[in-house]
Amino acid sequence: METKIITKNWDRIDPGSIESYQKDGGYQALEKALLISPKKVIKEIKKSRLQGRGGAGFSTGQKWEITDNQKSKKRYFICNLDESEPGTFKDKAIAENNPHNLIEGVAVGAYAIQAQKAFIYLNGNFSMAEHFLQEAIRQAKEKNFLGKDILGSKFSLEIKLIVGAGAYICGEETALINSIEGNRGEPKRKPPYTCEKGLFCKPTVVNNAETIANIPWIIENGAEEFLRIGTKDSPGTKLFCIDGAVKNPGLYEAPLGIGIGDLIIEKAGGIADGKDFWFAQIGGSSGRLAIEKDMTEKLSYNRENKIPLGSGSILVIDSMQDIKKLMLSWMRFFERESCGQCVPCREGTFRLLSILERLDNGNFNDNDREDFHKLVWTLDNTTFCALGKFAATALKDVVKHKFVPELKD
Amino acid sequence: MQIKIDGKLYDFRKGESVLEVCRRNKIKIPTLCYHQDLLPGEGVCRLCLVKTSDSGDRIVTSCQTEAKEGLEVITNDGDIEKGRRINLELLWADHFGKCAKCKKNGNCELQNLARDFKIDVDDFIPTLDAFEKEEQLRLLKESLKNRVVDDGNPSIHRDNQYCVECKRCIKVCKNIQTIETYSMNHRSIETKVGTAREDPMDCIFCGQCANYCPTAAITEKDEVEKLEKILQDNGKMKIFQVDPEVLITLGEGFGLFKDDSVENKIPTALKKFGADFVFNGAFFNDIMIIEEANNLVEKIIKIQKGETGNLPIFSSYCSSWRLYVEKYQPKLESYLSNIKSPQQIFGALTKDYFSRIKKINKKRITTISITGCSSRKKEAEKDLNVDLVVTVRELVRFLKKRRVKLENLEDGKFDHPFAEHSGSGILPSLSGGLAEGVARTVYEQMTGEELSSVEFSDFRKVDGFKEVDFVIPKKGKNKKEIKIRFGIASEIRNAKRIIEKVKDDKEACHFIEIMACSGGCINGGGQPINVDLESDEKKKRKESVCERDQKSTNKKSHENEDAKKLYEEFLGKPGSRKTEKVLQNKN
Repeated sequence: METKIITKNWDRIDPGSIESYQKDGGYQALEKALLISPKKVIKEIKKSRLQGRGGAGFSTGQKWEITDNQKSKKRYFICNLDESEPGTFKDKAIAENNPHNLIEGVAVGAYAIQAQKAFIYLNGNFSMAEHFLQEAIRQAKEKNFLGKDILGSKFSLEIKLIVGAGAYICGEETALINSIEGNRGEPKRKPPYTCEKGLFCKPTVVNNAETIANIPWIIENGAEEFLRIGTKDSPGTKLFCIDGAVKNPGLYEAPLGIGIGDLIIEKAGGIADGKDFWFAQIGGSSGRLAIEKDMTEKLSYNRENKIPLGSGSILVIDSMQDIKKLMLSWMRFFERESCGQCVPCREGTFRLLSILERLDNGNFNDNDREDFHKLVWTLDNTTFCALGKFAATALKDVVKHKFVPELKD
Repeated sequence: MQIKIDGKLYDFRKGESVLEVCRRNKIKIPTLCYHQDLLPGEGVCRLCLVKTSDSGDRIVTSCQTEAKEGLEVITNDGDIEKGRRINLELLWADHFGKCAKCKKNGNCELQNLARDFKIDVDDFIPTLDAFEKEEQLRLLKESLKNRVVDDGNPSIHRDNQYCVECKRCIKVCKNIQTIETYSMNHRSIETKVGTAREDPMDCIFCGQCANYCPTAAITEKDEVEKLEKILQDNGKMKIFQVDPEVLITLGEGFGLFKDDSVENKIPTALKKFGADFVFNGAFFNDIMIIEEANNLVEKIIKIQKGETGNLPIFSSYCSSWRLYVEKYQPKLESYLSNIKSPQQIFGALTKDYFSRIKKINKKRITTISITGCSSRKKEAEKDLNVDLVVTVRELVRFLKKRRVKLENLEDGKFDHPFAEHSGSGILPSLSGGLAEGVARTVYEQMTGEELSSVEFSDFRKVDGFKEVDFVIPKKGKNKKEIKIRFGIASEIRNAKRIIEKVKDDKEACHFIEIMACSGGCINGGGQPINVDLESDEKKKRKESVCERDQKSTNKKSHENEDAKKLYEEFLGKPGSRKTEKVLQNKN
C-alpha cells in the first residue's frame, strides 16, 4: 500500500469546508492532544523523531522541548509558510488543499509549548492560500478549535495570519521574526536562538508548514506508527516537487530514504521523451547538483548524505539546456533576494552576477575567472546567514563537475 | 576567566566579545562596522573574521563571538586573511576613484584598511582595455543607483555613495539619541542607509552620526569655501569667536594631542588669514552663566516668598537639546530658559555693542563662530547676528589647505572687550560644567560671601545622568539653608530619564543642564574624528578642560573683568531691561 501522511485525503477534501475535513477525521488529533498533558505531546513528537521539513532537518520534538524549558511563560508558535525557494511549492499546496490540517497542527504545537498566540507567516504571493487560510481560521474559531478555552479545556489560542511581502530572506527564522515585529526583514545574530529569545524576545518555535502538517497524523496514529515509515534516521514521508525534463512534473509524497533515480522514475514517470538526462538539482536554487552516478543516493536527513535533501524540490536538467543561462538565473535570484545587510552577500552576489553575464555574452576573461572563484569562496565562507552559502552551492558543483570549461579552477 | 588568543592567555570580562578582548590587548583585527561605543557588534562588514575552537574550520566574526572560559581563538591564517581581503576588495570596488575629491581623504577608516591591505586595484570592475567603455560605465553607475545627496539642512551633509552600510549611524541615533533618523532602505545591491522615504533630514542635528561614520557618507556641512570668500572680502570687518572646546581639540586635528600651547595660536592663525578681531568664546559662556544664575536666584527667591517660580529651568545652552524639546517635547518648551546661547550672545553683543563702540555700521560686520558643534550651524540659520558657523573639522581643513604649521606660529591673544574668561567659562565644554559654573555664581549671589572652595567634582562625575544637591548654607545675606537640586545629563536617552522625573514632580530638579552629545561639547558633532579606535581621546579632552579651569586665576564668571566692564558700561545689572533685550530670545 502507498504510504501517505499529508496528501492522503487531498482528493476527498474541500479546502473551503471545515465539515469536509472533520468528516475525514479532522481535529480529532487536537481533541486527543488536549486530553493529555502538553509535556506528553512533546514527548510523543520527540519519540517520532520528526525532523524539520524546511531543509535543516532539526528535530522538531527537541525544538519544542528547548522552548518549553525556558523560564518565560509567554511563548509564541510560528508556522513558516514563506516558501520561496525556486521550484518548491509544497507548503503552498498544503495550504491550498488542506488548510485545516495546518490549523490543527499549529493548535497542537501551540498547546504543546503552551503558547497563547500563534502566527502563520505566509508568502505574500500566495493569494489563494491566503484566502483558504483566512477562511479556515474563521471556521475553526466558530467551532471552538481556536479561541478561548478550546473544546472545554483551559487552553486558549489565537492564530494570526501574517502576509509577508514575498521576500526569500524572510523564510530565515530570525528575519521572519523581524518581519512580524515590524522591522526590516534581516537575519539577526544567533545566539540567542529563537527557542530562547525569539518573537518579541520570548521563547518561540518556528516550524515549517510541512513539518506542522505531519503533527496531527502523529498524534492520531502514534509515534510508533510514524517510525515505521521512512528510514531509521529519517522517519516519515516527504513532499517532493519534481520539475524539469520529466514526463509528469508535479508534487509527490514518498517515504524518506527513497533514491533520487527511483523517485524520478516511479513518481514522475522518468525522463521526458526525446530528452537526455544531464543532472538534477536537489533542493531548489540553493541545492546541490546530482549527476548520473548520484542517482542511487538516498533522499533523507542523514547528515552524511552526499546530496542534502533541502526543501525537497528536484529540478531535472536535460542536455539541451544552457548551463550558463541556468547559472545566470540562479544568481539573479540570489542577487535580488539578498537582504543587503552584509558585505560579501550584498556586493558579492552583485559582482558575481555581472561576471556571469560576461560569461554568458562572451566577454569573460582570466581576471573574471579568478574573481569568480574568490567570490564563490567568500560567499561560501564569510556571509552573515546561510543565503550566501546557498548562492555558492550550485556554482561550486558546476566547477566540480567541470560543466563550464572557462571556469576550471 | 581567560581565553587563548593565538596561543596566549588573556583575561576577559563577562559578556565581552572576542573582538573586545583583542582590542583591549592591542591585537590587531580589522573592522569597519564595529565601534566600542555601539555594542553589540553588528557583524555586517565581515572583516573581523576569526576561527575559534567552537567553530573549528568555520570562519566566524569576532565581534559576535562571546568570550568564554577556555575558548581558543586564531586571529589570522590563510583563510581568514583571504576572507578579509576579498570582502574589503568588494567594498573598495564600490569606492574606487572617489578619494581625491572626498572630504574625509586621509581620515577615512575604509581608506586606512585599503592601505593596510595594500588594495590598490578596482578588482571587480573590469579595466578599460579589457572591455567596452559602456560596460564599465554601467557597473560604476550601478553602484550609484539610489544615490541620495541630502543638502537640505545647514548642519549635516549626506551623500550615500560613500556609505558602506555599517549601521553605526543607525545605532548611535536610535540607541543613544533615541531619534531614529536613519534606517536601511531598499534591498540587495541597492541597499542604502537613509532617512524614511529619503526625506531631507529633520532631527536635532547633534552630528553624532557624522562622528561615527567611518567614511564620508555623513559629514558636517562644508563651509570652508564660504569662509575663504568672507576672508577675502576687504569691505567687511571680520569678527570671530572661538568656543573653548575648540581650543582643547584643535590640536588633535594636527596630531598634537597633549599640546596645550595650541590655544594661543588660534588668534594668530585667524588673523594671518584676514580676521580683524578674535573674541574668546569662554567670555560669552561667562555672560550666559551670569544670566542663568541670576534667573535661577530670582525664581528661588520667588518660591521662598510663596509665589510660583515656573521651575525647573531647562538650560538652553545646548542647541540640539533646545531643538529636541521644541520638536519632541513641546509641552516642556515653557521651561526652556530664554537666555540666548553663548553663540547668539556673541552675535548680539558684537553687532549691537561692539559696532557702537567701534563706530562702525553693523552691516559692515561679518561674524563667524568657530565651534565644536554641528547644531550651532542650525541655530545660526535663524540668527541674523551670526553670519557663519565653522566647525573644528572645517577649520582644520582650512588651515591644512594653507599648509599652516600651528606649532610654528607666534602666540597671540584674544581681543578686548571680549577677551577675558573665568574657569567657569571653560567648563560648559563638559557635561555638568555649565551647572557648576552657575552654582559658583549662585552661591555668592545668594550669600554675598566669597566661596572658599570652588571646585565641585560632583558636577563633573556624570556618567550619563546625575542629580546633584547643592546646599547654600545659612550665611551672610542668606537667612535659611537652601538646597538647590541640579539635574545633569548628556545624551538624549539619559535626558529622557530626567524628563520622566520632572513630568511627575516639577520640583524634582531646579536647574537642568542637558547636553545632547555624550560628555558634552568636547565630543560634539563638529569635533575632530579619531579613526584610531583604540585611542582614549574622550578622557584626555575631559582632563584638559578640568586642567584649564584649575589653572585659571579667576574661576567665577561674575568676576570676569571684561564682563564686569560690559555690565557697567552697557548692560546694567544681570536680568535688567537691557539684558532682556540683548541677551534673551523673545518667546
